[in-house]
Amino acid sequence: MSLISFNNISFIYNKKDPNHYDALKEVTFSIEKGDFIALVGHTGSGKSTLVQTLNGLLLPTSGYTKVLDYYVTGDKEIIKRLKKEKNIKKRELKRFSHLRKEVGMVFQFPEYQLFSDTIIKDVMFGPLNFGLSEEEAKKRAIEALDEVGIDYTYYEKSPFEISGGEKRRVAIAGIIASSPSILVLDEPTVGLDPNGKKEILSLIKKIHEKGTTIIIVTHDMDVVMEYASKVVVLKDSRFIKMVTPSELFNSKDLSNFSLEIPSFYKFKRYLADFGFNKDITNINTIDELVDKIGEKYGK
Amino acid sequence: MANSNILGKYSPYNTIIHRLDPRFKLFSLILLMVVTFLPYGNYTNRFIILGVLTFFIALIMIIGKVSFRSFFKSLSSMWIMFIFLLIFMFFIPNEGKYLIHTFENGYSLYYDGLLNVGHIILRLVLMVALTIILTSTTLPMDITYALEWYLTPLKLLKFPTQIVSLTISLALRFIPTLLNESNRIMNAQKSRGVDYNRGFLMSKIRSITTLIIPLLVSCFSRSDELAIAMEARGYDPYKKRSHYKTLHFTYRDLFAIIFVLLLGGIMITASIFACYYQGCDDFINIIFGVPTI
Repeated sequence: MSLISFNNISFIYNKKDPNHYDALKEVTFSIEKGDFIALVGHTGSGKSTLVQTLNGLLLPTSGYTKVLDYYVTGDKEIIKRLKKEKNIKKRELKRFSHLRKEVGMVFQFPEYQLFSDTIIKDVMFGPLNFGLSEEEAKKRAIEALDEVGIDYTYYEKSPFEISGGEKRRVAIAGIIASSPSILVLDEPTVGLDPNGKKEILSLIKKIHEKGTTIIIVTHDMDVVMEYASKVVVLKDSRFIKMVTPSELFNSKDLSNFSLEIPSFYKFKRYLADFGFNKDITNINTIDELVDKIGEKYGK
Repeated sequence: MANSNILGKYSPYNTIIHRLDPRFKLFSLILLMVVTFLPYGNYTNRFIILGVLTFFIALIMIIGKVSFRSFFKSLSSMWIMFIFLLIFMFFIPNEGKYLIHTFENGYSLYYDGLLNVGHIILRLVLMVALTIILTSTTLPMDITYALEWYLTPLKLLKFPTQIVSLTISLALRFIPTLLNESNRIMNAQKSRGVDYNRGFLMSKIRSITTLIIPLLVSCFSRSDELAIAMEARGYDPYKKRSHYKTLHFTYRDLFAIIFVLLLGGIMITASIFACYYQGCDDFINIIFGVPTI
């Protein structure tokens, strides 16, 4: 039994309009507990639409997304079937509060969601909404802020007077304060400097190590290579494949999906092109490659 | 949120109506609106005239491929008003010529009230239809150009018409952007457990602030960036401006204008004759079509 499964889901924007648009076509795959999934594909391939079905922000027009015990669907046939077979009422299918607690969602530029007058209040907002007491929420907020590296001197500051990177970390703290078991991040590193990027990524890694399942939408292949345990490739609203990063980058059809090759694999290709005669196809880390090159030149 | 376009939105077809000059379209919109609201004497006259107008407006809607679905959708937000009209014009005691029924306590209903309600509703529906024809066949930018053109006489009075039209076009330009933005923020807040549809007054106000504050913040930063970008490219509000798109009057517009003027002229003449023979001297009568008591 997998944690998340997408069952033949399609999504059409403006269904009844003349200019409707298919954002997802018959996507089927599943995600296991503890995975670190990277979702890649060119702009407009349906990545953001796909993740928004995870907590019921968008309901698939056909098929269903199953997350934990929840069915997310807008398909009338499936709603009927669920009612008949599993005795799940239509009303229950519309209740997303608990699902949204379990699936934390960090959108692109999450700093735009800050609104409170102090940082601590903003981080407490999520837990309070999900029915925690004031003290418990505060405890969670402090833990979350600790985790993202915002110390107590910031708690009473306004979220509008801190720097961009800090804002983003506060916003992420606002999500993880509700301690979700699945964390979805839509391009969390866009618009950050290299240091800020590294901080966010190591934070995500730390959260993953605690047992949270991570789904990250990204264009940055270096991130995919370094952090993801599996990559899901989408193209033109369709699911293409789910492989490990090294399988993806060693495959020949990479350019079909308009994906950039990470610098490491580019370097490997250059080596091969310039006649480096050792077998390096199965080497996927920088250290191993350094060793291999060292072997060749006897050092 | 995204479908709160009450006055319709542009639909990208290429029909005759789309290609007409926006200045002319704006003019005929106003003329035809005036015509629908003119007094035409007794009920028979009124409904004949409105019937003719309905026919022509429906024809224009079909030629211009205006979506009837969006038209009825925008009407559906007006039904509360229709009910109010019905209560005020029909059920509240008033007088009339044609009696339906008198109750024992002296409360009586008249056909006049019903006819009046029908008349007013028809007028409002036609007005909405006209507006939707304009907005769904004309780009917002073109409407602004037309507005600016009509404002040009004010230049003689040193009125800064180009600044006004720039402000209008910027406002129009940013409506979809802000709708997108508010959608994104709502999604983010929903993920943090805000429910915009449920709850009573206080919790609703609280959940709306989670949308309004981020939206305002991004609005201000956006307008700041826009101002800087414009200044960086040498924007000077008092310089003479040229347009990317210049408006031309063609023979097509000429035919259309003759048609609209003819229609408007006939209607106005009809109205004058009706007023002459059947009398409609009251100002309120002219505006609302309420018969003088």
